[in-house]
Amino acid sequence: MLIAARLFVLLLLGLAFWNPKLAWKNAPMDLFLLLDDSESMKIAWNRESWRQIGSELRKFPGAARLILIRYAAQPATESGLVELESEQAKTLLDADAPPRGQPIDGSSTNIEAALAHALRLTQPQRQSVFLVASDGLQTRGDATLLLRELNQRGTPILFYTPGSRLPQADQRIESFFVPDKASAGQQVPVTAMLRSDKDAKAELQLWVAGELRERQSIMLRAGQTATAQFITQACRPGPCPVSLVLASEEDAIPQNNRRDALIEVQGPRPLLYLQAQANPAPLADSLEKEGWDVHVASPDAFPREIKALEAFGSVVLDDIPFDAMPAAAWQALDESVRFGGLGLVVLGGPHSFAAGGYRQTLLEELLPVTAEAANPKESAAVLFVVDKSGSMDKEEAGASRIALARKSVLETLKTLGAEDQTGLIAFDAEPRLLLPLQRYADPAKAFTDGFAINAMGGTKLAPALDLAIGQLKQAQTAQRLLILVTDGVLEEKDLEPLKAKIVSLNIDLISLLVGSAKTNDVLGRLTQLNQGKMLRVERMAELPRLMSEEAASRRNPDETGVIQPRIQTPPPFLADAARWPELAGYMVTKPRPGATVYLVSEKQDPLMAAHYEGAGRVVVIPGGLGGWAENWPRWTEWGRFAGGLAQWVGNDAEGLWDVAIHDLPGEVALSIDTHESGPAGLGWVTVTDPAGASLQIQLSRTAVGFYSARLPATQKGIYRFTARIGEHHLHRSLIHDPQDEFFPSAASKQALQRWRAEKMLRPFPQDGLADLAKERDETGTRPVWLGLALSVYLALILIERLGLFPGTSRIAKK
Amino acid sequence: MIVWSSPLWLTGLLIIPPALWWLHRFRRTGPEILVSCLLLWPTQKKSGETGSRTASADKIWLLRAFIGSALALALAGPGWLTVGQPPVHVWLDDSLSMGTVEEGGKNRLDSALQQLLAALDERRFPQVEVSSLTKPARPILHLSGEIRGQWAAKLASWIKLTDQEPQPPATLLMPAGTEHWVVSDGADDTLNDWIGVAPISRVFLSGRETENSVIGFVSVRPAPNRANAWLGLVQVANRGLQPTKRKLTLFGAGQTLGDWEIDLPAGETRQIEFVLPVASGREIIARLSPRDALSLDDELTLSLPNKISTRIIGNCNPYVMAALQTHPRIAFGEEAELAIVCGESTPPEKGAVVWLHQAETAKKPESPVLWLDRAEKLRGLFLKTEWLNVYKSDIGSSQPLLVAGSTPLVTLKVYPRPRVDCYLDVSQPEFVRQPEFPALIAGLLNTALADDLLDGINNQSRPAKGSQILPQALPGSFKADAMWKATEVQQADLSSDLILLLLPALLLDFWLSGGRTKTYRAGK
Repeated sequence: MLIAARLFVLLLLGLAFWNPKLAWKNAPMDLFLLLDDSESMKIAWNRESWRQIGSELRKFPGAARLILIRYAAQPATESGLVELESEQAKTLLDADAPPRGQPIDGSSTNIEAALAHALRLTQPQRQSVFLVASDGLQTRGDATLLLRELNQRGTPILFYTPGSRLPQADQRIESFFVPDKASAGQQVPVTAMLRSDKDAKAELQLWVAGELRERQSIMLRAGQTATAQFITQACRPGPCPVSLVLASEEDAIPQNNRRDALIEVQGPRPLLYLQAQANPAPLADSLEKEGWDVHVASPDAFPREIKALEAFGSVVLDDIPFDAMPAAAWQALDESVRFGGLGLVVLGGPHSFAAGGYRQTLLEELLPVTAEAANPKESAAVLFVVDKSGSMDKEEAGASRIALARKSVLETLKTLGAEDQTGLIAFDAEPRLLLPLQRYADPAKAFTDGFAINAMGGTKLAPALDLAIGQLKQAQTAQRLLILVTDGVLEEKDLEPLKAKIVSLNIDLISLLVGSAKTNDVLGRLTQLNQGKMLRVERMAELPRLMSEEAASRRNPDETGVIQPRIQTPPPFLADAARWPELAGYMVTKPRPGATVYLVSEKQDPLMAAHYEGAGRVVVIPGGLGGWAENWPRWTEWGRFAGGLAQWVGNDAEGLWDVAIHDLPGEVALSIDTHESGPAGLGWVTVTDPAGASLQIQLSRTAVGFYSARLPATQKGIYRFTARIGEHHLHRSLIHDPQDEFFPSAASKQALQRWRAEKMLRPFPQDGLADLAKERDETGTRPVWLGLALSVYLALILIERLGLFPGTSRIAKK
Repeated sequence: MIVWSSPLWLTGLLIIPPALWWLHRFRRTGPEILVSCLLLWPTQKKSGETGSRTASADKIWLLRAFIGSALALALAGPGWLTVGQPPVHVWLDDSLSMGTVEEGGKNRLDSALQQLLAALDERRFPQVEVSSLTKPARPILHLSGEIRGQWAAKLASWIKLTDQEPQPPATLLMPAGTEHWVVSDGADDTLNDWIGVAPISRVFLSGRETENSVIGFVSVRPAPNRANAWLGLVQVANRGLQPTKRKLTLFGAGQTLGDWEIDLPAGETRQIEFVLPVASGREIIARLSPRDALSLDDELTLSLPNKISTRIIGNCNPYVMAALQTHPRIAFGEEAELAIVCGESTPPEKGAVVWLHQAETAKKPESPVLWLDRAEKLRGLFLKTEWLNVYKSDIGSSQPLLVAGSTPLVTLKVYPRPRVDCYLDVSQPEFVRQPEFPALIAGLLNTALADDLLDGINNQSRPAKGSQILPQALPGSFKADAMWKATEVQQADLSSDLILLLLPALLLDFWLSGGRTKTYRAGK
């Protein structure tokens, strides 16, 4: 017994020395779920994967964190680290479908990128397991090397493929050819190669610009290809969508039965000529005679949507005031020029530029000039007289009339020069001089602080005008402006005294009648005396614009007389013209930095200037081609000028350049070969995506005349490109619809087989999570054996000392 | 230094020895002696202390106290903290910027390697592996098997600077149980970001220079409007922080072809166009002078395309010959890199082949013709079905480029050597008079040679990032000291040694205690 006990102690010590390992708890594990969400993974397959994986994960016995990554052309992390046992994970896995919060391009499958993305999220101290759900098609990248490396490191990679594989009976358009450009009216071939997995009767349909043009019945033989061709007429100039549809019964993958393309139809695009007057404009008339497709319209017929402007190559605004078109029309024009490359010609006249209210408008932002004088006129005295009677307290357009009047005055101050004197009078029954007429260092601040009035009391206009005239009389300036805002009435008896003073002091009276003010004939007569004007403000919201336009038009007016244009830079379309015809007037403007000024007046004011605003060329001729340019249509070069101008502004380099656009998954590769030397690095491309968002990218020049760019394309649909290099630009469109998922190469189809053959993947769920759950943390058991050995050893001694062993006896204490 | 994993067990040292002493002092036991007669008892030999009546404790308590204490010590989990020497894996930034020559005439790579070798010298028997960061597929260099004095030379001969960008590995793919060291100049953002997140213990940084100009690319293409001339473009960039003035010189056929003085503001890029006669030699060299800190990117050599030596086999019809003879890049010869086979002759064993098949009968294609996607630029060449007569084709293992229904008309085989088979009747009068005919012949040559012979762009470029020499600060997330200590400190378990010591002690105890159970019988 004693010997056995001693041997037991020795055995325990031996076990302690051996220190056998025992599993105690699960290893900390991160499970990376990579879910293929490409187009080839049909929705049903995706759901099947999600359900299957979800049920397996719910059964996972150990603790783990889950990271969900959806992938196709690129990966996107849908959920951060979620404890598998948490409510959040349960909710996630109980859902019918995986969360799709991140947009991804489903047009290709890049398993390599998904694995690399997951690898970046791994943590060294935790075990990482990759569970890849995919149909096994990898149409981009190659995950083989990465899988091999992960295998070498013992990282488990589970691979789940949906149970149902591709059905066999499929008919498809294997290849499709449509020329990428054609001339207007040209017959173009549309050729396709078709293939079927079984004998089938099908119909091939040709759609051009949304219209079914032709159809052909075709008998497809199992495993053989067939070619079919249509010869059809291209559409009008511009992008012409062409679709080929293979209609057949019992088709497994209908997505590969349709092919779309765009033909860029060349030819001068129509020109939209906007004129306010009924008489035919000389420019529109000449262009029509030269064969141009000119659409003459009045400003109120101008399209409000960009789509409607896409048909036009350029737009001419002939002496059009800003308020002749609504904001939506200007917005459409602005975006069409900037992003659509629409050419714009702005012809001056008495109703344009400063007089047309262009100052600080959306239109002015497009122009190569601003509607102000480069050298402002001598200083002016501008006195604001504002009605503060009780009726001005009435609310309109979300604000009281008096508040809008205040806003109008502050807006108008911006159009005035630093040398101008300003002042403010408010009146009801009595006038009050709020700010005396003088030059203010900071007029905006002075008026913001000084315009502190409440609307109340009656209305007496004559005393206020009298006080204002008194103020203006003191001003030693070349111009005197009196800007009156009122809803009051001037009586006949007050007319004569005021009239004499206004005439003698040469005051321009601008009356803005607000609200329901009655027709004010007396005031009207007063405003007609010099360069005055009476305006009825129908909508109070327009008061700020009307007031600032009127002020600006008087401060930066036209120049009249005999004006001989001088050549500053020869216009490229008429570089050899040595002398240009005289003008009788022009609107004074100031060139913007970066604009090219071609013709100037003796005062160096621009008479013709141009620049690119975004993708579109904008040309201004402040003298116009109407009343101030009566000599121009009689000029011997007029024909060359008119045609050259129209061609230049809507200039399209089609036919000159070789353009190649490659539709790739997630991007579009654009290359342009101009075959000629050009300005270094001055190539730009503006891309508008199917959602209408635009992006401008500089083209990189890698050889003489050769430019290229890679442009992101993440949405399916039509992408529009406007490339600009030097003096030329070009429009192209592309239907971004990569078909790799439905026409995978043999290599991409064989990838999964290869990985399986090399045993890189563990099939899921047959082999997988249950095994992984067994992979636990192992801990040494030495302390257990040592503790037992010590206990037994001490017990043995105790028993021995107590004489409890047979054959021993305790010796009594002495 | 000794550390304990369960130090509470050390209290056993205070309890076990006194308890054992007490048991042996006051609870002495002896063997039970059986005698037949009480008188015989005094004659029996006594064993040890047993049965003695002395006042001291049984001496065996000392051995037992040692055993009990040792067991308590072992339970407390003793460990010995040592400065460990795990293997070192060196990730070497062998990008171009490491070739930057610093003040003092030494380049960054040499300075960084000097630091690295000094750090390795601090270790007694380091196991060292070196990986290239720009070429991840390159086999690892194992220094451990080499004589230590030759490490510097071995490294120097192994390293080849490239203009590729570093491609740092994913953390999961870095060898475990290894210290990771990085040798870099900190000029690459991607690499710096990686250092911030990867388990890197040490970083050997070198480099202060900031100024560098680079020739980004040189390209030439045939001039469209001049006979026998190239249009060229060279790009020069200032990747430094200061404006600079450099001279660009072009050399070819042993002579200077042109030079330009270039003022380059900081960060600016300039492109310079040039025109060269075709007879400018086999290559042109663009060189910046004077050389700057990184002279490796001050020069770029571009090989100029030559005429393609072409051999005609068989009887090609005059239209084919006319198309070939007027091709500006074709030169006829016997040692050919391209063979044009007309008719059913045998193609040569070497070089690319364009085989224009002929047969007794040709017929109109029954279906419209279509160039497939892999025909690439030829897709733009529209061939009307009515122009064409076709021969019976045999696709074999080739890939179709042009088809009419299920009949291949032009096929391509890439391996083992490029071969284009054309089954179109190239003597069909209506076809050979079309402008598309010479374009087709030129396109077939391009396809066989995988080149654009008529308007190809020859380009030699280097990645922009490779010339970025400005050292950047390492990310704040990199804490070298903390990681260095964490990986270097190792703990050796001493409990196994204690157990080994305990085993003989226990055996001795058992042997010594064995006598106590002896039973004496009378008469024995």
